Amino acid sequence: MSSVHNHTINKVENPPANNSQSWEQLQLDLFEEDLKQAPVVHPGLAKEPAIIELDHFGLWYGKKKVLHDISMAIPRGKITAIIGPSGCGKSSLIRSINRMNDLLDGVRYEGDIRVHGESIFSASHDVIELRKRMGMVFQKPNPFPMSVFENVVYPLRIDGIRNRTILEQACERALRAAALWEEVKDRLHTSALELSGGQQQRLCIARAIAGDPEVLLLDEPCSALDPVATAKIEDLFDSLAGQYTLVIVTHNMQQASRVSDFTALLYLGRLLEFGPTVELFSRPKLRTTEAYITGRFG
Amino acid sequence: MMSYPPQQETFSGPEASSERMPPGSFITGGREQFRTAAWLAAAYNEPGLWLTGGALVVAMGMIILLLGYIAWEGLAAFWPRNVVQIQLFDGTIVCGEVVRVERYVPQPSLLETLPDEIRQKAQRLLGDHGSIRRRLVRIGNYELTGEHFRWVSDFEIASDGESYPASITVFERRAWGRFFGFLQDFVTAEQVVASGSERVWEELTRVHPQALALWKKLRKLEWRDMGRINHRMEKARLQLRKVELDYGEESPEAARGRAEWEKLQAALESEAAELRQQIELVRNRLTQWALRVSTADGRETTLLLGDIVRAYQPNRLFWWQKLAIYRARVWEFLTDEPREANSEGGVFPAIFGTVLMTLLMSIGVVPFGVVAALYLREYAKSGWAVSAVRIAVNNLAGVPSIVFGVFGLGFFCYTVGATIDQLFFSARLPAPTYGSGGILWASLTLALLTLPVVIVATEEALAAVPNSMREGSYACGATKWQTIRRVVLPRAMPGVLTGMILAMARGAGEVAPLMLVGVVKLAPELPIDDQFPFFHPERSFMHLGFHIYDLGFQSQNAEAARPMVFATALLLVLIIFTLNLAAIFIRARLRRRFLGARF
Repeated sequence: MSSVHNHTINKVENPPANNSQSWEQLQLDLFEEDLKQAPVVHPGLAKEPAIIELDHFGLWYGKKKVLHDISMAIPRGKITAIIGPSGCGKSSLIRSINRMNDLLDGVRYEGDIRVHGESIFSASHDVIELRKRMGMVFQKPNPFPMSVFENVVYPLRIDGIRNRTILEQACERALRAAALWEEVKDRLHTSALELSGGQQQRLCIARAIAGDPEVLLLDEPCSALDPVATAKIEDLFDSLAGQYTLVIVTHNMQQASRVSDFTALLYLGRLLEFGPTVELFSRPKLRTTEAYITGRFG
Repeated sequence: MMSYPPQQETFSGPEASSERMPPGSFITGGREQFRTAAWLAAAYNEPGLWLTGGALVVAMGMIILLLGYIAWEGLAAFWPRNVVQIQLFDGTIVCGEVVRVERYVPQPSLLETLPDEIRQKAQRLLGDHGSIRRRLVRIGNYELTGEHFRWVSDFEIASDGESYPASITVFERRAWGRFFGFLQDFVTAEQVVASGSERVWEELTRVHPQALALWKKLRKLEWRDMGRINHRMEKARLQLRKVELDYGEESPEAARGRAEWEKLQAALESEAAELRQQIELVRNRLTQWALRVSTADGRETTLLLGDIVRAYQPNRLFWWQKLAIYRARVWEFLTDEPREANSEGGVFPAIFGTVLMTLLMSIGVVPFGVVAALYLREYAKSGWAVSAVRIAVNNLAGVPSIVFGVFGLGFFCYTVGATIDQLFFSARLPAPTYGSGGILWASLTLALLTLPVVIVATEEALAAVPNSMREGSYACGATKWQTIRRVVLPRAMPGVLTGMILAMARGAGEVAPLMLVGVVKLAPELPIDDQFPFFHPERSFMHLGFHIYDLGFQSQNAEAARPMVFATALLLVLIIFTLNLAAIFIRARLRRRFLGARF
């Protein structure tokens, strides 16, 4: 946690010459103060059984450190929202959980992430298996250039399953779970690219759950959608919780407060506050959190 | 509440800082320096539009001009022209088709040699127009005249010396080129069965189809059936040679083989003798028909009906009748073999060779190019090595094609081919099988030549596949190969096909390297036929591009080959266009399938 820390201290020690405090400076001072206490984890989390544990986790892209010393336990079967202003490392964090960051050049980790108590970075842990246990949905819908059916059963196809009955059952189950079945059941074999944006995103959710994962990682799943499509997908999260553990990255605080059970606030690559959503939004313990959720910056 | 500190306006351009211009000063003056003609043109006339649009128009104009010229000359090549009969001042009669008209100024020394009357006529014409018209007449009748063409200047023509005799007949023959003449007698088995122009013409039109059918039969017997016997004999001889090579010439196996071979040879000999007899019979039937004809200058000769491909009397044909002949000639051009040193007949073997070679080339180049591009784009870590490879690939596209031809000859024919010959066709040595040029080696050479095009196009297509798709696939737990095979490649397929189109366009029009690795002037045996193993990749072949070169620059009778050059060029352009169109059609279908509607 050293580099940013030193940086901010320097800023405070050497105030701007004109002595007029800028908006950013106020914000940084506030953050600096809060950082002494952070991360603040609400006691309500302690009794929840964790499925994913981050343990002093840090991440570098090349020489740039984007995540600092993050320790949090994501409760099983619940919806956890990760909020924070743009560029705070939300996406980097969620992409670390299924090791999607491995695909980028120059990525380094420190600390550890454990799923069911087992480190995902250990040599014995197969990254392909890890990703199969975690469905992921991205910011923009990314259906593959094939039919709706083939899109949904893609995780099964890559497992080598060819049995038509199994594939069809999995397809219907996943599409029903993603609340898309009624809309596409008559055109399963047309191109997925002909669906609307909202339908495509629900198709991507169906694809993510077709392989029967334990965790769904959703990286700003509604940011490219209109309000109606967003509402449909938010309804979907409720029905998916319980069976799956959901981790949602969002920069939309209303969405976080609507759909999640727990919320974590990330700021400048650090975890500031993590607790039950209701508590965090009604009685934030840090002033930065309060400033952020009331919309004063971000 | 945090708010922005008041910011001082830092930007102050020259216009903002200097005293403001009063409204309307732009029109009334004040910025005099901008009101030049160039400024006005820039402001109102869109010079960029005119420059770019004009350049495009010039480029398109030149292409259209070229294609139009080729199309006009190529399409006109088959039109049956009227036959003119011209009497010159010295009594010579010139009879034939006018193929070209031009104007020239004759040398004064030439005019000196003319008789007074003619010279005055020439000088009068020269005085009136500044030049004199002359026409190139295809006179044909090569066996009698010794030339195919003759220039006729206007002043040479005797008064009233030009006519279009209705009963003149044009014969297209299998040898000696065209014949222009008048019908005298129709002879069957040395008996005159019809005399006089009209009667002979009737008889000719009645009998000619039979003669054509007989000729076809004869050709089939001579080429296919006789060829088959020769082929079997050759195969047996090669088997014997192989036995001799394997066991030694003195071995009992070789002796047994020789005995067997002699037996087979005897059997085949008798078969061949029987066939020869049959051929003789057909030939006798065919040669019983003959035409006695006289030329315009009164010489008489005899034409065998079997030698005549087509006969018509152009001066009495209406345009729709000429159109029928035109159609028949185009059909012949497309489906027949060449004759008369390629200057007449068809170009079917060349069409076949061009298309087959282009397809083989595509089959060869696309997988290699795609695999190479996949490695460069998907697997290789970007760095100086990959950049160097990329630059090298791009440079490869600029290497002169003849260099590829030399490489193909040295590597494919003399190295790979010779090795194959030694391993599998040793019995036939020293005659090469794969050790000389052939359609396979030509296709592979062109595949090498067009490889950069495919690699570059495929790389671009792969780069255009959004990373989000790859991520989506990886997030489902797919391996790299599964991602490439199931998501990336299908999405990049239209781009790959673009590369293939470009490669085909480049490859089909290439001639220079082919001359070294398998294209020949005349190859009546197609690379695909009905003899086992049906596909003969080692055979040399004909190619339209080389055909153009051969007709235009290697022909004995360049003037007669001229229309064929245009027709062949037109055909080559059309074939490349068709191949491209087919690929574009496939690409459009793939695009619809893989790219779908964008939102």
